[in-house]
Amino acid sequence: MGQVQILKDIIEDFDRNYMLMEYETGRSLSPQLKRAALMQVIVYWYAMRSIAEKVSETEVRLVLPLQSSPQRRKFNLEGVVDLIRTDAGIFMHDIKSLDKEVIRGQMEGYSEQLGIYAHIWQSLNNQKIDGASVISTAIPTEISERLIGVDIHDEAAVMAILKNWDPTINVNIEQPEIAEIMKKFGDVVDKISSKEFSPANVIKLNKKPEGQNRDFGSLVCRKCDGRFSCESYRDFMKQKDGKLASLINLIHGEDGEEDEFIEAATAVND
Amino acid sequence: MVGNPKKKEKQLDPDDFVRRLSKRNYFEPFNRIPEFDLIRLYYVAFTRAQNVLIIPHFEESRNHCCEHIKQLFNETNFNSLEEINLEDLSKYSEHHKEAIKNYSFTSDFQFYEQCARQYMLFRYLDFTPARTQSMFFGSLVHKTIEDLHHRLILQREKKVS
Repeated sequence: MGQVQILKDIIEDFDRNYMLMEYETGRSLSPQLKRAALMQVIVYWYAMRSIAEKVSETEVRLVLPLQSSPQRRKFNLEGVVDLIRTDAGIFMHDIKSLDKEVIRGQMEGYSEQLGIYAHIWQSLNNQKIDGASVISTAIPTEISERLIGVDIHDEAAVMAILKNWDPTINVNIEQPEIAEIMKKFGDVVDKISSKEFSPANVIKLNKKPEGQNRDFGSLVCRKCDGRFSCESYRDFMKQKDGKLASLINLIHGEDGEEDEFIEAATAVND
Repeated sequence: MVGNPKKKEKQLDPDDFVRRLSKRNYFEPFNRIPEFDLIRLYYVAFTRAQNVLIIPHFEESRNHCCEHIKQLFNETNFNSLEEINLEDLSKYSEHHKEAIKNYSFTSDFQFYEQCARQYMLFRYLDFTPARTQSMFFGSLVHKTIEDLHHRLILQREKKVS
């Protein structure tokens, strides 16, 4: 398939997916964001062509059935991943639209995730996974600036800009202690089943996650619709702003109503 | 407790029923539908009761009971209500056999670890977040790359064949 045809197919698939998602969710993207999303796919194709062409199975659903939590609840663990089979072995790839630096900051999580997936694959197929990586589709600012005005069909021009850029980050899948991760996973299953839904504590809200230049409260909580009924966010905001603290106390009093909120909210779902 | 199994076995007019709605073959003979309905009623009663099942047993001739049930009463020595001491019955305990749930590593485990409250709102209670731009963006990129992979796989398979 020629380059022109592939790009035509990408644009066609992209437009169809966008339209379907728009219908499904009733939401849309601004024209700039829509273009940025399309550029991520096109740049992925150019930069990762050698990988993309080798993907043998995409969106492989891996399930580790009938696991048992510390409180003896039965559950199945599942994950989805892309696979590449070459003469050198079987490799796993997980594609993320996050910045490479953000991904680097979360390596422990990816190592656990892909380590568990490799473990599932091995248990189900009796085949070893020889390597794993995360591919970042986010385009670094210096590259996206240079891509402005470049014809996306001009392979040589695009490749010249991308030549020193490698969006893959290798993930160590040998390291994770499977039993330990399964225990942590089981703990979470137990907590979800017993409706333990306390928010992240204010210490976490004040910390900058690895690879990020803003604290968790600004990065995650500020976009969360639950923030106005969240005691951690309230404390976080009080610490940030003394004037705001007195106003919050005036409105809410010193004690929150969070327990009542959780009780009411989870009762609806029983 | 099953209700009065009295049911008139009146002949149903097929034209009033399914025939005009569907061109399929009969699932059950029309004249036997009332009988099958009754058997279904007893099937549910026998399979769902947890501790005790009470079935009315009418002895007067004007109370109709279908032949199968009559046969069941004749062949099985059921206790009558007078013979049962309700105090002796084991206490009913509710035990749900829940289907085993699937938990995803990323959208359950990692999401919960990030913030359990946020997990509750958007995964457990399934509220739609007001700001969905980044999620929309990520899903769109991911879905289109997935389509690209499918195209490339298909293209390779065509070449091989």
